[in-house]
Amino acid sequence: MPIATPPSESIDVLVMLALLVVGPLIGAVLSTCVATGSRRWVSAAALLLVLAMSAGLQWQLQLAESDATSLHWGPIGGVTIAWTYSSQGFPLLVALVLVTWVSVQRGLSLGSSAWTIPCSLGLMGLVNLVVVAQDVTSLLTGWAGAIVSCWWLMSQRGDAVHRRHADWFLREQLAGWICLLVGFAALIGGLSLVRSAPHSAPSATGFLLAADLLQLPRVCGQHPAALQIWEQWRGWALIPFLAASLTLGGCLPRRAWPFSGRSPANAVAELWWVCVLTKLPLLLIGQIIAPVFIASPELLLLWLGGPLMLGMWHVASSFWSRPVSADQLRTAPLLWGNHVGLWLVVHSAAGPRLDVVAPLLLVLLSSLMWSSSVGTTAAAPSSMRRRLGTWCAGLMLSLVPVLAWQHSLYDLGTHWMQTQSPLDSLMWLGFVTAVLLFATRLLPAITRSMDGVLGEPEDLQQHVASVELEGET
Amino acid sequence: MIPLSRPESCGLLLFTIGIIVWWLRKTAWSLLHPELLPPLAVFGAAVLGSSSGREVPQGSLLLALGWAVVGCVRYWPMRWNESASRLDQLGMWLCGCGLIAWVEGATSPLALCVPVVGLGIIRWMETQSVRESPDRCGLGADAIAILLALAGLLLPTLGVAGPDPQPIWRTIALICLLTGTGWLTRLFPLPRLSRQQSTDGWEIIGPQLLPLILLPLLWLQGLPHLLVDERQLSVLMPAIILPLLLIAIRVDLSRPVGQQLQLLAGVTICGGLAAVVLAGWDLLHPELSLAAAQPLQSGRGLVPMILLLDSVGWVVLLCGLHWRHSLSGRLLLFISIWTLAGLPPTPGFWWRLELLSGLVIPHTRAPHLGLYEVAPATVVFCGLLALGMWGPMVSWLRLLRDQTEISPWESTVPAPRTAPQVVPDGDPQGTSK
Repeated sequence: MPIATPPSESIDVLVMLALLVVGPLIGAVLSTCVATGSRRWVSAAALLLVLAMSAGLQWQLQLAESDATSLHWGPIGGVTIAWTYSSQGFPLLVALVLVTWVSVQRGLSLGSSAWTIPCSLGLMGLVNLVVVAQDVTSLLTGWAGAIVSCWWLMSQRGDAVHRRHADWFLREQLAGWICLLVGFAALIGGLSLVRSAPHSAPSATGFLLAADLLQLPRVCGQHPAALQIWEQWRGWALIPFLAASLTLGGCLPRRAWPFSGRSPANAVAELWWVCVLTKLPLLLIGQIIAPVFIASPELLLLWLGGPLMLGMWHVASSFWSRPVSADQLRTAPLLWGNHVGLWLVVHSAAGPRLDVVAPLLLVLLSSLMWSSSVGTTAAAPSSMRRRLGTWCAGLMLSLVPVLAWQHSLYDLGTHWMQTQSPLDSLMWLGFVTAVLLFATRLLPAITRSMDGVLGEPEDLQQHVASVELEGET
Repeated sequence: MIPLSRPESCGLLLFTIGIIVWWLRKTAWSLLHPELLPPLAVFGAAVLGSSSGREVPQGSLLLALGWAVVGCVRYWPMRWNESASRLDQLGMWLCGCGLIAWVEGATSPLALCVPVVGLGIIRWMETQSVRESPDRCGLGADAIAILLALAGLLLPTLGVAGPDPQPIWRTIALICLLTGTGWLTRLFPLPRLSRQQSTDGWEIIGPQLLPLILLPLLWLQGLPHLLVDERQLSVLMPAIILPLLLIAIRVDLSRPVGQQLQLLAGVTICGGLAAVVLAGWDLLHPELSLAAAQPLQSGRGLVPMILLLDSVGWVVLLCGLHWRHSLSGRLLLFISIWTLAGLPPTPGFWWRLELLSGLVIPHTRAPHLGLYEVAPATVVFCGLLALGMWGPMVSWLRLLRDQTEISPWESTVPAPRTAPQVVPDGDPQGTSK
């Protein structure tokens, strides 16, 4: 299977890329000065800014002399850093700017901690880094930094209950992150074995995505022994990626939402987690897992599509069987969106990269609208704007699969993954039924919530009391 | 006689000076100026080490000298009123450094018996330091552990099991060595805390961290004498996984920071021990060595790399804890915790990634299962190793958050801000609450 190469980009775009990744991080450091009120921080931030500007100028001069589409540094101590920008990812970067703006606005309006602005800017820079990363170090750095920044933001409330929730969030997210690390380690070690076939000594490998890890399908085609090794190894390597995708995507069945009710202190962290961090596994699947495992669609469909299908049914059935509470109405569509987004990416992995970005953007924006309208409805009087936002987000979440399917079918041709087995029909039947089940229940629930029929979410004090009681027992 | 041009002589010098410093705590030490002895010892060891004219392939000598220099800087100058307890600590510290340096050049089983006995001496010194409750039972167990470890080292060479002992005898010897050294270093089968109450992070270095650092180096040097079959490598796995998982569970509970640091020291060592498995594979199959799989490190290179990188992380951490109220201290704390937790792009992340990547290769190539056949047990081993690394990662980050707000030797569970409590420094158990 040929590996798609990124299109050529102009130098201006690369400079913009540097601004998108490095700029927010510098902004985060500068705004940390305000949060801590330290003169030394101000001096350090000013020094950092000067250094960044100097490096940026030097960087621009170097770029002007070459026609590079990717940015490479190193190897520095065995580590090579590579960032690649594609114009198809530009809407995603714009959406991240939008999320940052909304989070800062929400933080300011709710009077959250002084760390809101630095953490939001830091999150933006780190997620941008994940989007453009083409090496394992940058990818895992951006991801880990985003998790820790979000946790830090949640921890600033200070009381024991919120800290317990924040620690639970950190534990869960880092569990997914270390699964990611194990998955990459399995790929790196496996690649060394596959490349060594039919010889016996392990051969050289690397940590670059496009240059090393994504070359596995091509390497397997060079010798039957290589293919044989990869067939034995690929299932084991997929397990940690599966666990990482489901955990980081928030798709594993959870006992409770990691954020406590309507806490204003967690509103910004919740926004980032719901709208951005849980959507990053879509990129992981679309850019790394699917290209590596594209030669074995049945493996992808069974191991990734299967659990996601079960998750969709779990959300839809829990939404159907019981009366919908306000908290359920707030969280279930977000969880549904994560499942559907991942499922769509798994199925459209054979297509061009736009098939990854389109569902990602749809799910991200609908989650943003939903959490902005429904998540704060009870905290503020319901206005026409919120009603409109709720309806738009509900319709988007219900119609995401249909929109993505139409987009794929008419604009780019059919790229849905096929195994030529009854599994295809089974998956489609299950998917359509789950979508119908969910949509027919969500839209009436939205109507009832507009009429005030649903119960309000539990009060924060009640929630804190219940959690404390739970901790004591 | 040991020639002066060997690393053992450096180790012997450091160990002897450590014993003298420790012994001087009860004597008229003001006449001997013991504070001059450690720098002289380090200088002498450095001269001897450089005069050997050899490189430092394993980094043990560098590790020992580095820790010895840090110890001298830490305990210099000593003051009259606190010199006795400090001499205790410094003595054990230098003895640990001496043993690490000794292991660098110890290749024969007989030479490897010296660090085992030295470990026992450090444990005895630690027992003497805790005057409140001398633990006779612990001393007896330590003696048995020394005998077990010595038996493990000498069994294949004494001819007890015949001139060419079968693999089963070597496996028994390996188990004896694992059990004995694991008990002496307080890591296996259960990670145990020192009975000494830490009021300062530096106090865990001598009795806890340096003996732990010695453990993977001892395994690394002892493995060529005991390893004949790759099945023996699977014996090492429980000795790595069990303490690692127990550390991950115990450290997650609310504990004073001193105890948390003692437990977390074991994580690095378990990583080093896992790298010893890679070194064992390279020993058995040199033609399939990981050295060809660039940029992955072979096991013999990875063990000292792990120990060196995390040693630097520990020094930076303790400096950061000391100056945590200043900007530079917080920066040091952040950097050290980030690397000790294993988050990228710090060195702690890199050895974890290289270790996990490297472990894939030998386990996939296990010949007794068939070439290129994946054994589910080894997949479980890698999974459990990653699980064991995940638990301490969360604890490190919680430590980073809490240390910026409360006293370092207080319990890490912070009091609610609505009812702040002031706890004086130096209260190891938080009993003043």
